[in-house]
Amino acid sequence: MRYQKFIIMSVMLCLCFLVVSITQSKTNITYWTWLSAEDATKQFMKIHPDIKVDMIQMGPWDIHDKLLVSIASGSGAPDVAQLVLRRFSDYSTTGKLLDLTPYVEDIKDGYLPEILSFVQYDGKIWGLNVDIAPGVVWYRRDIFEKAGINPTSIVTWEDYLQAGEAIKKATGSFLMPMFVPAGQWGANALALFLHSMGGNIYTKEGTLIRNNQKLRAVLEWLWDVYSVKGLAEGITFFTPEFWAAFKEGRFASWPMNTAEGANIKRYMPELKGKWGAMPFPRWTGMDKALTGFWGGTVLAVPEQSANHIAAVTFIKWFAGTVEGQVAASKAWNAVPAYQPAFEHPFYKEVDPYFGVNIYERINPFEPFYYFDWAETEQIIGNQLDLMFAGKISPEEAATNIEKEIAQSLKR
Amino acid sequence: MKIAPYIFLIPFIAFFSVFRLGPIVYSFYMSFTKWNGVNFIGFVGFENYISVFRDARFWKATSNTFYFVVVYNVLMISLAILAAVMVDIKSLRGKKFFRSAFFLPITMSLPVVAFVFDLLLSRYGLFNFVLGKLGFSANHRWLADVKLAMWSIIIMRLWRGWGYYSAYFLAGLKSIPQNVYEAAKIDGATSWSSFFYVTLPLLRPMLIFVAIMSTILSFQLFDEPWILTQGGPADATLTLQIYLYQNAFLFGRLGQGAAISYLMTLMMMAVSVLYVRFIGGKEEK
Repeated sequence: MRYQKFIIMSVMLCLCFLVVSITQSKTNITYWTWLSAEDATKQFMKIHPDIKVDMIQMGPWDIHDKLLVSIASGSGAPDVAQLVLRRFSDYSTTGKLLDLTPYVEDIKDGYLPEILSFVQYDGKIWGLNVDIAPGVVWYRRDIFEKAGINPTSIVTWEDYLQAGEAIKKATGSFLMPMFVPAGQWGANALALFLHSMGGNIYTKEGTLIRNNQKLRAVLEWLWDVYSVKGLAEGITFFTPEFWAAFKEGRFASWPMNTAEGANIKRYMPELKGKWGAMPFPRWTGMDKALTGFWGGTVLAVPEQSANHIAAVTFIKWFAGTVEGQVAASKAWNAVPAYQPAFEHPFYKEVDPYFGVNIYERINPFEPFYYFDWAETEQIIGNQLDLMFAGKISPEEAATNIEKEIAQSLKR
Repeated sequence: MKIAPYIFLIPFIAFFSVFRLGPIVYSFYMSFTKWNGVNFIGFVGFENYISVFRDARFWKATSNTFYFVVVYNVLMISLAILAAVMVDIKSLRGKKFFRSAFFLPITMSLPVVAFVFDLLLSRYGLFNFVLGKLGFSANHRWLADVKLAMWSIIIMRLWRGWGYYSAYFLAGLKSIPQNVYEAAKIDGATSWSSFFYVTLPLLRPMLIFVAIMSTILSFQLFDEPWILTQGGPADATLTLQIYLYQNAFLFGRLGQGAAISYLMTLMMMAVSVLYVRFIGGKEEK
């Protein structure tokens, strides 16, 4: 009896040691994100059983604030942080992120140079784009049909406005919502249109573009749509009122990034089949139609992480493999930044809600440069508010934007 | 000399020095440095303070904050005293219900309140509906209007705050001896004169306390405008606290952020001294 007890105890002890040793052989990494990436991380852990990913969800700006504090204090940063692409230059220029250049030699050719440029600084790669947010025009099929408008007939933005006039006359719906008050959303919507014109606020080197004619053209266009033609209604973006207005059919279309498709589905499941998507129209004077960016997200590894290899393995899988990119698309409607991903059958499928393949509605794009973007957003947002309040003209708004950026940011 | 009391105080002094005094002193030093949280540029003297004074947005934030502090506190204190006096009426039935009802708004989560007010203040919201029924223009987008945005914040803050502070005034009213009122009544005082010449003067200590606390908290106004308007439209709801946050954390100027926080501290101290001097002075005499 005593002998049996001894054997049982010994076996249990061995099992305990086995469990502990298996657990300890795993590398734990922390991953800060605001997105629903649970399934993607589970998929990664199946492929890499030696790495355990602890996903911590918090708001995007909380991640940015906490990461800044962690970098400043020298401790507390995660192994992997998901950051907003527009603000990435705030971190890539610090030298406190892990230089990924030697780790991504094998996958960097999978990114378009204009996408890779977002994460490069000083000739080095400081993060990996896990997704991008290019613009399409979401539209209500039922409202367009009621007004007798064929979306395929809309080739230029002028056609789009003409369609808007017909829609307003036939249905009473506004062509699109306008970001009034502007805030950061308004500034980024302006950037979306400006980018689709091939324009920029800054040069590649980060110098402010003076006497920016494309900026003036976009401001004039927005002014025309909202204040002159009355085809847009002012509304605060992403509020309950905003989504309710779409449900009610107050807006016939919405030029916005592809990721918002997920929100349209979430807030208006009953409108399945009534929403469609078309590519961004072409600007007059341009020989091809481009699209603009709302932003995207970047995965980065803080230098203070003690698990560089495991963290790099994770972000390379997520942002630099076909499976990782499909997982991101399934999780938050991400548009892959890694181009080989588009060969996957997932991206050839028709979206059952919209009745089209969204990925085929995305136009080509040119590089866009974000520098000191938080302050740039604030400056642009204020001038847009003053313009839409009728206090300044589009020309004055453009002049003030350039003047204030030059004064505050010395760029 | 007995050293035992000092030995017992050591834990507090150590805690206070490390977690309170230390950060205060360090942030004061930071206000004279250029630091973006990552790269420490060095000591820059009064440059941060000068930059702040030269920034038109600082003055806009200061005027907005003072406007809010004055309007909100006058309205809030008036409403809170009124509510407390009403609940204190002897013949009133259901006092517990009213006390709870007044206190309820402060217990609600701020994001939920902001969500509700966002709907109430929208173009098709309750505020416009009521205004329309009263025959006024009813097509305002309160939070998007440069002239109405700050008032929207004041209304929301009032809704949350007046009931909470009325509890303080109610406690103050309970501490006033009944025989003072009886004496006033014998001297021929009416209800109104009792209120102005007995209640208000005897409430003065509580009034000073509430005024100072509420002023300090309203100087730090951040959550409501940040959730609802992010300081917009066109900086119409930009407060000093939002200006501080933007500079320190969004624009990466921690040194300047520290300078703004010290300027705010000076303003709050100045206002508190004024309160004590003008409201509390008479009592000391």
